[in-house]
Amino acid sequence: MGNNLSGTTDAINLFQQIATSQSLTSQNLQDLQTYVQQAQQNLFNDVTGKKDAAIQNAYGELKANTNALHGINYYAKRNEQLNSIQNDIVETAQKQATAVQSDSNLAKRQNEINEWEAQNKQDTLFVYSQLLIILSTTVILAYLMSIGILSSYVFYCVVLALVLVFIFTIVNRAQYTRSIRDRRFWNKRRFPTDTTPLNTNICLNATSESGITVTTNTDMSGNSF
Amino acid sequence: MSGFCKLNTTADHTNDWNTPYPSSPSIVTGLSGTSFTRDMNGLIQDSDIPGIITKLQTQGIIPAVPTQSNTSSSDLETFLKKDMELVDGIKAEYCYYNERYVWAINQLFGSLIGPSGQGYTSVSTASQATIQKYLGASVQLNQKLNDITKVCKGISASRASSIQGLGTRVNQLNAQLDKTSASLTSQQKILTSGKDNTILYKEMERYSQQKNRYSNNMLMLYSFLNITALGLLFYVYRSSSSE
Repeated sequence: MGNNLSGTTDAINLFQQIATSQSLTSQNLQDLQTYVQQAQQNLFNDVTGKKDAAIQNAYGELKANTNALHGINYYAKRNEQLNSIQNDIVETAQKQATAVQSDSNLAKRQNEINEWEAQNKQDTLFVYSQLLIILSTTVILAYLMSIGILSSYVFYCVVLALVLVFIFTIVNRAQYTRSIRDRRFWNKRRFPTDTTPLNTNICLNATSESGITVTTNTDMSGNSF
Repeated sequence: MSGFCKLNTTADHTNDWNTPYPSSPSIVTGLSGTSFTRDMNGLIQDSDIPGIITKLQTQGIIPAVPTQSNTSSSDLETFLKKDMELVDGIKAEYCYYNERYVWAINQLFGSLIGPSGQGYTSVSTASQATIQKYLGASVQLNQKLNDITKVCKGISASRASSIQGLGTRVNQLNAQLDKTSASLTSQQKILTSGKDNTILYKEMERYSQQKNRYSNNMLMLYSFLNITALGLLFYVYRSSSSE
């Protein structure tokens, strides 16, 4: 800092001595006065100049660091606020994306339901058209029987056959739709699934008896083979 | 000394050179309630400065830097305002004591060189007392100025370390911002492609609804035809029976 208290006191003592010795030896008092005042001014400037430099340095540093601290505080606060705003936007976007996804899934599922229903109706239409053919044939055969062209025996045999075919069609379609057809897609078939895990110990036991070394590996699903 | 402080060179501080700085915040007043050691030059030991800074923060003279991430804007504004008051207050306090110090130094030199400005061939007891009085005042005021300068440097160092800490937090926030920005971009992609799929599925659903309506119409038609055929069959059967 350059402001040594004892040094200042020493300088003052020295100055006092110089002034005293000068006053004893000098014959020109005016010169002495000028000299003393000059020395006083120089000492004053030296002492206060060093103090001024020290405080300028310290205060300047303080101001610079304070301004930097304030700036970075504002920066941090702004970033926090931006972060918060961005998180809100992300949340909103996420909700929107979820809604869009949900809409999409809903529309997809509704489409599947509608398709299943339409195909079911097509099947029913097939049965109705079959019934219409059978009834129309029966009407024609009945007319032919009524005018004597066809015998009643032939008529009843044909009608019975047609009725049996119709019943078989209905039973077959109903049973197929109930047990085999996929519940989600009309044109898909359900296959029975066997969830029993394979018993690989049988293989290990068999190979160990034969003396062949077997290493067991496990796949990603946890099945060992 | 005009560089840092504006001095009133004609002011007489005979009666108030020892008056403490009246305004707040005051570093010298805060130091009076703090224990510390001085070196052989009368300066505060460097090792005591951090403790002094902490004590002054506890007293509220130096505002504490907000370090928590959930500091409100109003708390931050309060801190910044108090900080600026501290910085301005340090200068005001320094200049207050500095003016008295300059006065004391001038009085001391004046007492040394005497009224004629030529020095003394011998120093009387009264003159020596005067010299000692002004010397004591200069030493006291010089010590206060040195204390303020030391504390000023200590606060500056403390601020520098706070800046480092905040810098780390700012970097973390920046990283978070980048991550959130990437998340936003991916959300935008989902929204864009999701909307296209939604439109497609909705169109498909509309088409399947239309198909269902057509099927309903066909079912009604065939039902009618079947009933008609049944009626015809019944009529033919009745006709043949009546014959």
